[in-house]
Amino acid sequence: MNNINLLKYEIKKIIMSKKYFYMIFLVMALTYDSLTRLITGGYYGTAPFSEWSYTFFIQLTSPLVISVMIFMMTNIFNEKELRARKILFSAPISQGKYYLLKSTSIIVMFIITALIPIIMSFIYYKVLFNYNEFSTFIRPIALFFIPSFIFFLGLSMTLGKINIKLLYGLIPITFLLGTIDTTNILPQWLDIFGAHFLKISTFAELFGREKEVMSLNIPNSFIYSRLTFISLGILFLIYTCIKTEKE
Amino acid sequence: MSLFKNEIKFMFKSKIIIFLIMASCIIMTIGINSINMSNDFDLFYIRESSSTISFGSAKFGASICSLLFGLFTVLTLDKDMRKRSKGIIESNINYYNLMMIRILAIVFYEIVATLIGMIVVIAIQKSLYTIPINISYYLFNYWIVLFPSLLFSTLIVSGLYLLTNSLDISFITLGVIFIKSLTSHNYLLTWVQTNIDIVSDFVGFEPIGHTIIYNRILWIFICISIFCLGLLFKRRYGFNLRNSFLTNVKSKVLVLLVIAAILGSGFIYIKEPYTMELMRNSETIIDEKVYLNGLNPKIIFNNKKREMSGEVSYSFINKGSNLIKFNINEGLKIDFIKVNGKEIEYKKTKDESTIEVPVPNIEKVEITISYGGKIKSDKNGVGRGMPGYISKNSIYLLENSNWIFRPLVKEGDYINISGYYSAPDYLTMVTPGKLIDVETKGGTRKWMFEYESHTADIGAFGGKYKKSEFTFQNMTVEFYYSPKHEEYVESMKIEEHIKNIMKYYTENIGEYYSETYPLKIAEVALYKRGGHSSENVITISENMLNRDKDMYSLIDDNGKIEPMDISMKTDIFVKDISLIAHEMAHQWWGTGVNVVESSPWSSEGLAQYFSYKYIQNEFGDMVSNMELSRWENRVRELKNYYYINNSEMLDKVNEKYRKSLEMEKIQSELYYLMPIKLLKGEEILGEKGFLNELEKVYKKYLSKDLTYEAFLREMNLSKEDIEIE
Repeated sequence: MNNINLLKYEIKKIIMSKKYFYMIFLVMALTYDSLTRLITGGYYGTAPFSEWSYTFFIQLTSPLVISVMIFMMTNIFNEKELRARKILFSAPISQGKYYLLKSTSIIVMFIITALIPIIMSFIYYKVLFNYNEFSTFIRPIALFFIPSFIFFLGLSMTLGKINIKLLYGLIPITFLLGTIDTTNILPQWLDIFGAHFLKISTFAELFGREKEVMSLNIPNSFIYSRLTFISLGILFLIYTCIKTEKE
Repeated sequence: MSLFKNEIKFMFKSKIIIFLIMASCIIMTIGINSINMSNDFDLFYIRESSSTISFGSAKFGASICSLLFGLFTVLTLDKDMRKRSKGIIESNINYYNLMMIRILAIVFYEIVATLIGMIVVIAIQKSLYTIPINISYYLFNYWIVLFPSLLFSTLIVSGLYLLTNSLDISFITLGVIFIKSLTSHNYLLTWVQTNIDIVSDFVGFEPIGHTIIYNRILWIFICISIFCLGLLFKRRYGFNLRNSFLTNVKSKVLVLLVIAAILGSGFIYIKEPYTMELMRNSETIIDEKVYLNGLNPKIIFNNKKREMSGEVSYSFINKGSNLIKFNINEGLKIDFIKVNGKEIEYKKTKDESTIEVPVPNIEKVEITISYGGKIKSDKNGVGRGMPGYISKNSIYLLENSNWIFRPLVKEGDYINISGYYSAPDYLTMVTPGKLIDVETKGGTRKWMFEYESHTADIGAFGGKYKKSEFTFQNMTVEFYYSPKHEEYVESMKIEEHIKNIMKYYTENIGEYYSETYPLKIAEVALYKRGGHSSENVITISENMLNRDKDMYSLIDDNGKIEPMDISMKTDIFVKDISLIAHEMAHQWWGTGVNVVESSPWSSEGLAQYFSYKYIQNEFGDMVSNMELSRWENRVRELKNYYYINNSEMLDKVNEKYRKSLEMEKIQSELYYLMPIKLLKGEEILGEKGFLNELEKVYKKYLSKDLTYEAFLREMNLSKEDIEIE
């Protein structure tokens, strides 16, 4: 079996499972609730399809999507998989290649999962507001979705390889970081989902604004922090792939 | 029992539980300061006490620990599945008994975590904060707020696990229910950390305690439903989901339990007894053919039962109507209605918030309504904006709770109001108008009052108050506040400020409107934020009289603050004083002169303008400009709201959002735009000239209606002159 076939098999295994189907159902339910209950009114009086509202939407859905991803990753490190791995490693596949294959399948799974709220939101904007300029949403997706995903992907792979219990511990932390207001509890460098940044920007730019359409100004420092999370995530991934386990 | 003990020992040895308990204690400790970590500026620097410390730590603990214990539960239940030892155990003992025992063991550790957390926070309060402990707050907040959240989390996730047989699905579903709880405004759905922001130091948790308990009862039923549903679908050895269900369903007890729990949850949710959809005044239609000219309430408060009962007589001048409508409070049940002495049949509207009373088409109509019961609060305001409640130690009834049924008719030039409030003798009642007599008999005290006004907006406020009284010229002020907050009142010279406000208004607007009726200022609980002015009674929420000792350093011996030292504390203190000044200004504009509302014109604009002028006069431009820039920002901000500029898009949003946006817009016009317009008028006429003209308007329109047009005419201004770009 070549690598592509292996990858196809891995992805099919995840996506065709009942578990994944149910998770998708929950993501869809939360997306629907967020769009119709919280986004329709617009974020702090901005248009429901403004960059601000879309960033807020990303922040509402991303903790769940990333938690789903971490849960799917627990499958890589569970007892059943560990037993299978012993057989797998006797075949001509390196550990690095194995983890790369798993990471790639998780990335594909994440893309598919993340596409669900994104596509739902596009349909919602088109149907309700006849809004088509979806290119404005690329920036919120790129800055608020992807860095946190890559960071958690790398971190989860590393923690899972050390001990699966750490991976389970990461799930509530991810969830809480994304759902409760941690602005005054945690330092700003731990602003993985960008919630502190959005809050500060809201106070600075939306309160008392002089124009109806306010663009979301992203300072370089925030972009650097996203790049740092992406780099950290990649470093964790590389570490997981190159560090061989003792048999 | 031995299995239970073994499980407890086993969990203890695994060390995760020790880590979890320690983490819980740390989280609860961080939560002590959670009020100052929120965005709720009104509550910043609230004086720490047992109520704030215990509630803050319990609420913060509940929000994080419920998720942690939920995960621990599902990991524990899934342990055998992961280790593939389920089959071996199942061949020896009843596996589901073991699961039940594990759940019980987790609940045991949740009790331990709650107990240790409570002890740690008590120790911190006692040793670090040196604040005396009031154990009742701790017992309530830790065992009614925190512990049930942990228990619900465990029961929900256990039920979901039994139902789905999957760790991932059950935890993610718990996560979704958790998010829903955090983002909901419906107090029934907030199972994680309740809908309350703070527990009042003034009246305790009584006014809201029953809503929290009701929420807990509802969620006990919901959790039992989910858990029993899980048991109904628990997988039998070697059976699939369908076959397992067909076997499990043979247990009649379980099926009955599931049905009873689901029906119970539905019943409790639908028959929720504490709240109602309160009608806004702007939503009601007034019958222009009928005038109210007399009101005679005879009310008895039963604080122990949180009830009131009584008879209210209304006198009307009828100029051709056959029907008088009243907005009512759904919690109050009508015994009878008499029209001109004869008992009649009345009709209730579909939504039960209005009654229709048929009346004869004659000039003088007297209606007497006898009613009683428990006041219902506003559905969306539990704990934050409650317009009415009766508790053992307090009475807070604003006119907009419709505790006195509101007739939907015009108000006569003068309405004669007289009557009494009868309450337990340990309470001091703050009555509208003039107190004419007090009678004490058998543990109750009757507070008799009379009043002549152009509105019938009367409230009733009672509490364990300390009263101080002072006069300035013809004006007497009765100041009622909690003895618990005496130190703050004295240290921050609140009475001095009230006197200064009286002096400033008397000098710049005119004499107080009445020599007969004193101005009454009463402290009330934080369950209704801000202030309120109805007739000659002003209420201010306790946060203005109960802040931290750190605030004392803000002011000098004369009660002045250093204007150059503008900090968060200064801002909060100035806002407090500004709010008192705003409510006091309503005695001139609102009670003295009846300002006829027509947005942006209303008494609010004038009250805002005068509170600003007082702050400017007292603390200088630098401080008062903070308030002005807030108004300007808010007006600008709302002007740039998407839906305000694109009103054609409003049909995309639901009715509730449309109404709230409309409300926000009107409030911005009344409270922020109008005072800015008045300041522009001041700029045109000059400060002295503008105030002189206002003084003349006050004198001319005292006890009369003042419309926007009349105001502009009297001030020699036009709408265009004071238009804001």
